[in-house]
Amino acid sequence: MGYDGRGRDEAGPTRVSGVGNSGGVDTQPVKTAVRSRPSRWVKWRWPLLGAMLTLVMIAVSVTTGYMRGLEERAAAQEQAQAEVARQQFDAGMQDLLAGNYERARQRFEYVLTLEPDRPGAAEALGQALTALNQPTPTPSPVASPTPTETPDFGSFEGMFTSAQAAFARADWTSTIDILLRLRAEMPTYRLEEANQLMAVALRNRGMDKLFTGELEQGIYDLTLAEKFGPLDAQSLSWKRSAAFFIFANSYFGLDWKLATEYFDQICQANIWGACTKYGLAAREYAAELAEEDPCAAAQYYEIGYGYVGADASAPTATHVAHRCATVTAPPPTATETSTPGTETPTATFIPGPTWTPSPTATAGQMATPTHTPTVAASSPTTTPTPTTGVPTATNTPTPNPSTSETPAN
Amino acid sequence: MSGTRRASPTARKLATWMVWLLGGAFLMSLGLMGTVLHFVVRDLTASYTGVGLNPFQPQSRPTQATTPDPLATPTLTQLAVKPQPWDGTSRVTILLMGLDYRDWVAGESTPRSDTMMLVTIDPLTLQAGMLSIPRDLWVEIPGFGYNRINTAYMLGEAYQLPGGGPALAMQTVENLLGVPVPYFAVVDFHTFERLIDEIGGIDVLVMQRIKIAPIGRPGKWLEAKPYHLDGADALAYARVRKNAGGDFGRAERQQQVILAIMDRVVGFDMLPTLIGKAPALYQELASGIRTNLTLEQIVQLAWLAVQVPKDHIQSGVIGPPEMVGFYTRPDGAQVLRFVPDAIRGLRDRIFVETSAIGPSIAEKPEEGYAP
Repeated sequence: MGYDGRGRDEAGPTRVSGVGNSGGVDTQPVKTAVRSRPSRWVKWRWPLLGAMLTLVMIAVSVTTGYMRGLEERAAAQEQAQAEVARQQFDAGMQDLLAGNYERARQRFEYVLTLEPDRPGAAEALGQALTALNQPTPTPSPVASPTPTETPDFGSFEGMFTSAQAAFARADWTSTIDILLRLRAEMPTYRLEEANQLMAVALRNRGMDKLFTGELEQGIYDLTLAEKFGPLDAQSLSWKRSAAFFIFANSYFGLDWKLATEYFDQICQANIWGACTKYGLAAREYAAELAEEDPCAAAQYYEIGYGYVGADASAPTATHVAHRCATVTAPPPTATETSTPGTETPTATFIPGPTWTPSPTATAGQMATPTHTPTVAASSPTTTPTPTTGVPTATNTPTPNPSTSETPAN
Repeated sequence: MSGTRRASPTARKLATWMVWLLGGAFLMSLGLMGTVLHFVVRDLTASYTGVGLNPFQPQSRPTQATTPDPLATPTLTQLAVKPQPWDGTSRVTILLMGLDYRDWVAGESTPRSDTMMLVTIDPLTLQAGMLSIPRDLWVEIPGFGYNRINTAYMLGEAYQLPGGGPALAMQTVENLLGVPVPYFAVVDFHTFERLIDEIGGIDVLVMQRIKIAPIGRPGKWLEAKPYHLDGADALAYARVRKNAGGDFGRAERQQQVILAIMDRVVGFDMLPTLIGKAPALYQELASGIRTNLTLEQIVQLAWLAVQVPKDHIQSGVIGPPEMVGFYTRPDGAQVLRFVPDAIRGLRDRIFVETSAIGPSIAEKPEEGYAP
C-alpha cells in the first residue's frame, strides 16, 4: 500500500540519502531525496482513502438498509393490517348473517379502528347495533378525531386547568387521569375543587357506562364516586337498577324460573335489552313446565315468543297449548269447573325485588353534572339513549334495595 | 544499482495493472460488503416488531401424529396484541392466566384458561391486591352467550376475535367485576418453573398434607410444614386440585406462591440482579410469556411491587359460601352462580378501598415490602 506509482518504495529515499552521506561521490542525490520525500499524507493517502471509502460504504449501507427496512416494515404492517381487517370484516359479515350480533359488533368496531374508511363496515356496524338494540353512532360510527388541548403538566395550576378543560368537553376519563396525576405530584393542591371535579367526573363516567350497557363498570365508577359523598337520586337509582339487572342475569341459564321473574320486572322499564332476556328466559321456563303444567307453559311460550319470536320449540308450544285446551276444556256436562290439579297460570310472580319510586334528592348530595345523560324508555325495541333531557322518576326504575340473594341459593 | 531500483517498463506496467486489480478487488469487496450490510440491516429493521415480550407469532397447531409438548406455549393463530401505555400514576391491573394443561395434553387447539387471577397495584397508595376467579363461574361471555368463565379465552382464540383469547377473557372479567383490566399475562408451565428456579426456589408453609405431581417427576406427599420448593414442585403445589379444597383451595395456594415469590425476591434483594439479567431472561423466556406489557413496563412494575408493604396486599378468592352458589345444569355440568352483591363487596375491598381515588390520599409508607 506504500507504493506511490513511480517505482519507489518506502525505504528508497533513506537509502539514497545514506549513500550520499557516506560516499560523497554524488552531491545531487541528497537534494533529490529531500525533494522527493513524500509527505505523511501522500504516504498514507491510499490506506486512508480506502478506510474512508469503507466507512462511507458502511454508513450508506446501514442508512439505506434501515430506511428500506422501515419502508418494508410499514408496508408489511399495512398489508397485515389490511389482511386482518379483511378477515375480520368477512367474519363479521358471517356473524351478522348468522345473528351473532355482539360478535359482529366487536369485529366491525375493530375493523373501523384499522380502516376507518373501509366500505360497508360502518353500515354493517350500524346493522349490528340496530339488531342489538343499541344506539347507532351518528353521523358515522367512525369517531372523527376532535382537536383537544394537550394537557399542561408544567405546573399544578396548568394541570388543574387541563382537568377543568377536559371536564368541560365531557371527557371524564381524561379529567380523572389528569387529577390523579396532579394528586401524585401535589396531593393537597386545590383539594376541595379537585375532589369535586373528580367526584362528578366519576359519577358521569359511571352513568355513561350504564347507558352503554357496561353495567358493572358503571357501578364501579359510581362506587368510587361515593367515596366523595352520597350519590344524587338519579345515579343512585340507576346504580340500583343495574345491580338488579346483574342479579337477574346471574340466574340466566341456571334457574329459568327466577330469571323469568326478575327480568319480567326489569322488562317493565325496558332497559338493557331486559325484554329480550325476559323472552328467552320465559321460553326456557316454559319448556321446563311443559310436562307438569301445560297451561303455564303455554302462557310462558306466548310471552317468550312475543319478545324473541318462535324457535325450534314452536311444535312443543303448540302441543302444550293443545294439552292445555284439553285439560281446561269444559266437560260434556255444562258445569263450568276447573279441572282439579290444573293450575291456572298467572302473570303475578313470586315476591322478590320490586320496583319502587326513585328516591328523592337530599341536601349534600353530589352536584349535578353539566352533562346528564338520561334514558328515554319507550317501546320494547328501543334501548336507553343518552340524551340531555331532564330525568323523570318514571324512566329510572329502581328495584328494592333489599334485594336478597336467598332465592334458590 | 540503478537497474535494481528502476523497474523495466513491462514490470512497471504489470505493477500498475496489479495496483488497479487490487484496487478493483477492494472496491468490489467493499461493494459486496455494503450490499450484504444493506440487506442485513434492512431485514433486521423490517422484522423488528417493537413489542415487548412475545411478538405473538402464530404457531401451528399440533397435529394428531405429533405428541404435544406440554411445556411449550400453546399459542394459536391470533391477532397481534398491542402493548398498552401506562402513565405511571394509574392503578395497574393485570389478568394473570394459566392455560389448561389437560387441554394441551389432549391436543386441543384452543385450550381453556385454567387459572385466572387479577393482580392490581396502585402506585399512588402503594396498595396491591390479588383476586382469584374460579374457572367454573357461570357468566355471560360477550358475543357467546353464557358459559363457564374459563371458556372465554378459548372462544376468543377459536373465533379469532380482535385481540384473541386474552382480549375476550379480559372483557369478560371486566364485565364481571367492573374494574378496568388493561393488561394480561399468560405464563406457561415451563416458564413459571424456570422463573422460580432462577430465584433459587421459594419457601412455602404447607397448611395441610397434600399430594403433588410435578411434571416429569413421580408424585409425592407434602406434610403440613414449611418447605423450600424448586420450580417444578412449586408449580405442582400451585396446580393440585384434588383433595385440597378443589379450585378454591388451589386459588389460595396460588396466591401463597405469588407472595412467596415476592418474599424471596425482596428478602434476598434479588430484584437488581434479576433486572440486570432481564434482557438475557427475556431472550430465554419470551416464548413462554404472552403479555401486552412491554419489558420496560414489567421492570417498572417489579420495582413498584417490591415497594408495597406486605400488609398493604389484599387478597381474596371468589368462593363459597357467600360469593358463589353451586348449580347443576340440565346437561349435568356443575357450575357456579356468581352472587353479585358478595363479589362486589370483595371487589370493593381490594379495588375501591385501596384506590387513590378518594377525598384524600394516604401518605406512602416509609418502608417497602417486608417479607
